[in-house]
Amino acid sequence: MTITDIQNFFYMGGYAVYIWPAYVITAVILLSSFFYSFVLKKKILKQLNDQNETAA
Amino acid sequence: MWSFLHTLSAPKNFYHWAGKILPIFWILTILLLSYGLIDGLFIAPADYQQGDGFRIIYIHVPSAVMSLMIYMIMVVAAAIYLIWRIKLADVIAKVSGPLGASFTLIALLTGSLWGKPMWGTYWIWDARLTSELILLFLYVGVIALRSAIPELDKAAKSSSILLLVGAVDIPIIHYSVNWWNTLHQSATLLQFAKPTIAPDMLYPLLAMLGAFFCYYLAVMLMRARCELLVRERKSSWVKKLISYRNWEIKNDNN
Repeated sequence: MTITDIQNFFYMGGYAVYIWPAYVITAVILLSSFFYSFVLKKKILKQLNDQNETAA
Repeated sequence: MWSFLHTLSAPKNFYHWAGKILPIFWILTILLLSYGLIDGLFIAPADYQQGDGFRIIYIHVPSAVMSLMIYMIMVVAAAIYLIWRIKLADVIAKVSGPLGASFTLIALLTGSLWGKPMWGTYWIWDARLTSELILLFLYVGVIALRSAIPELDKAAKSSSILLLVGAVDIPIIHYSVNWWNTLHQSATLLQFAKPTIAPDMLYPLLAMLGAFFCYYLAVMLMRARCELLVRERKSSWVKKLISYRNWEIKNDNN
C-alpha cells in the first residue's frame, strides 16, 4: 500500500467528487438518526423521572 | 408461534424482549457494514463503463430498497392496528416513518450524485425518480398528519389510512422501469430471473443491504421502546423502571 495507492483510492478514478459526498451524506444522516435515538431515551427517562417525583 | 407473538404484543414484554435482542442487530450491522464497505470500496473491480463511479451503488441501492421495504412494513403494521387494534403495531408504524423518510432521502440524493456523471444530469422527471420523490412526500405527509392530531387513536387511524392509500406508489416505483421508457435502468436484482450483476460486485451489495436492514431494525426497536415508555408512563412497570433507574443513578453518584 503505497502513497500512490491511497491517493488513487481517494481519487476514485475521477469520480471522487460524486462518490465521497454521497457516502458522507449517508453516514451523517444514519449516524445522526442513531444518536438521536440515544438522546431521546435519556430525555424521556429524565422527563418521566421528574413527573414521578412531582407526583410523589 | 402465534402465542409467542401475542405475549410480545404487551408493551412490557416487548420492551424487555427488544432490549435483549437489540445488541444482536447492532453487531450484525457492524459486521455486514465492514464487509460490504471494504469489499465494495476496495476489492470489487471497477466497471468497464462507469469505472469507479459505480461504487455509489453500495449506498444507493440498499437505501432505495429500504425505503420501499420500510413502507411495506408500515403498511402491514397499520393494517394490523386497524383490524385488530394492537397498539404495538401502531407504535412500530409511528417510529418507522422518519427512518423510511431518511432512507428515501438518501436514495434520492445519492442517485442524484450518481446521475450527474453517468447521465449528465442531477435530476430528470422519469417514472422511477418521480415516483420515489412522491414516496418521500408520502412519508413526510404521514409523519406530519400524525403529529398534527393530538388524540392518539385518531392520529393513528388517520395516518394509517393515508399510509394505506399511498401504498399504491410501491408497485409503481418497482415496475416503473418496465412500464415506462425510463432513463433509470431496469431491475437487475429484484427480478424473477438470475441477477445479471457480476458476483464480485453483488456480494458486497447484498451485505450492505443486510447492514441497512439490521440498522433499521435496531434503530426501530430503540425508538419503539422509547415510544412505549411515553405511552405507558402511567403503568406500574414503567414507574418501577424509572424509580429503579433513579435509585441506580443516586447510588452511582454516592
